[in-house]
Amino acid sequence: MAALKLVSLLALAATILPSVLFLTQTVNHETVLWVAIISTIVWFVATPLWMGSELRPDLDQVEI
Amino acid sequence: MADENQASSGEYEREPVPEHALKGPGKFWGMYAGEHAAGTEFMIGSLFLGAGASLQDLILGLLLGNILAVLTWRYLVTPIAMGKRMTLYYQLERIAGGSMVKLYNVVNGVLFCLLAGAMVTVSATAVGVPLGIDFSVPGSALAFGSMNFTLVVVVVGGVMAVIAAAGYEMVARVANVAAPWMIAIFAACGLISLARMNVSSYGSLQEAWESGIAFVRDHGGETEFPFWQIVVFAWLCNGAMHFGMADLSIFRFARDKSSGWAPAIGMFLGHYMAWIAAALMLAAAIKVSQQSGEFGGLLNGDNKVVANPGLLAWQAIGWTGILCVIIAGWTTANPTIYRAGLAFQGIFPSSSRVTMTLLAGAVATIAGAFPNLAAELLNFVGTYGTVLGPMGAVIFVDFYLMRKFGLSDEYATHAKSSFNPAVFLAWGIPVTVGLILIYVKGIVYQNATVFPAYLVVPCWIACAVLYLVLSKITQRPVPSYDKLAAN
Repeated sequence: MAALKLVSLLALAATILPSVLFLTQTVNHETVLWVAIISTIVWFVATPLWMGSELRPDLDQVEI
Repeated sequence: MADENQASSGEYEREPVPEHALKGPGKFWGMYAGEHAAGTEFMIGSLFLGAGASLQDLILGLLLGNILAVLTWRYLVTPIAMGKRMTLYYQLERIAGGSMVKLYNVVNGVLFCLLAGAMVTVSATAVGVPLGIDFSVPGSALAFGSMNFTLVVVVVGGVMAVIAAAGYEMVARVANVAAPWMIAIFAACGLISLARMNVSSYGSLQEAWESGIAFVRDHGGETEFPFWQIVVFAWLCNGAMHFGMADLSIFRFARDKSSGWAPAIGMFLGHYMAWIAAALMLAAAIKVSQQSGEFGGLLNGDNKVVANPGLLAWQAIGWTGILCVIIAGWTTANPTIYRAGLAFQGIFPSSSRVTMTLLAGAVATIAGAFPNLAAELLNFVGTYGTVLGPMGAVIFVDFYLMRKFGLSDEYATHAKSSFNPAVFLAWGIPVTVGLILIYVKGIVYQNATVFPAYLVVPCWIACAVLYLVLSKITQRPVPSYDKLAAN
């Protein structure tokens, strides 16, 4: 479980970090796009495996 | 009764939440962290730039507006929620009567459908990008977009309606998982947009922003969106949730008043960071287009700037952006359609929830086919607050003032009435006046209407005063709680 959480955390960080590196001109836009989609896939594979199935009581509420 | 159909988050819908079910502040912070990262944020954020807001006004105006919104949740909603520990619907039923709640529910349902329609449009812009289908906003408010875009809206809305008819749980689980990722993608889009504009300092950002505004104005955009307009919009775009007391349903579980600060996390992630990020996406799109001389997707047929959330997200972060716009739109349209279905089922109790949800989905899809609904989201959201917000004033007066003025609180329960005319008139009169000011030109300003968010607080105050005065006139002696209990 802890390992899965770490994977999710790293995936989440990987969605933002490349954009910071793009801002500092360390990586190019193409790299950002690839890392973002790969880390997105990792997030959606890993996170449901550990995130509790308990629903937030506000999830049926309308939001703007 | 209407609110029996509101059961979904489930428990204590018709009784005060008991002590053992109360939750600590941590739960509320966790809950609100995933709120307000909706599909509409992609649209609203870029509309600020499209309306001519200056960067400084946006940064400071959203800051102040969001602080005011959080204070409203903390000091207006939380004390009443903790004092009564009942849902908005159950409190209204006790004050206004079941028939009045049904009427309120119908209005809710229609507005939910329109809101969901805007979310369908936003998701459709993202689906349209890989298909090469442009999103354009026609000059006439009641005109469809292109045939291809309308077809995409029909497919997206249809899928959303069918999934919503199956219940909200599955999508809610997706929303649970997606919430932190969506917030991260919003932040990434903002940072990437800064990089695309070659921003290296606040000065260079301001320069790029002003160039964006000049471009918008050159192409027939709004002339200005001043500081106080931004403050009022940020404060009152959630008017239905705080002034309108819809979030009583959430805060009735609060053990501690400090839980009332929790909306801050949702507001500052969704209605601050995400809005600014979305605005930066449009600024970057304008700058890159100016440099390349390619304005495809940025300008309408009539040469006006159009905020296309799907295209902006695609340009910023590619397929991830497309996915984010679709998921953000879908996960927020789903509960909206679901709740609209419940509201309609309240009017026709013998109908099935599935049928009514499909009906609500169909209405939302038709609404989504009118691109102006999403393009005018700043006005629609203000109208939404103006219509639903004032009902919160009835709750406020009932909680704080009725007994002080020698009147009966929860009057419908005491009088065994299903329709309290004082509530109907106190709510209906200010809202009708508000809608006239919003939609009829020339009443306040020459050849213009009132910005809807400006009317939330005046209508709320008018409703409170009217409810007190009308109750004084219409209330007759009613049995006390003790006598009611004895009977």
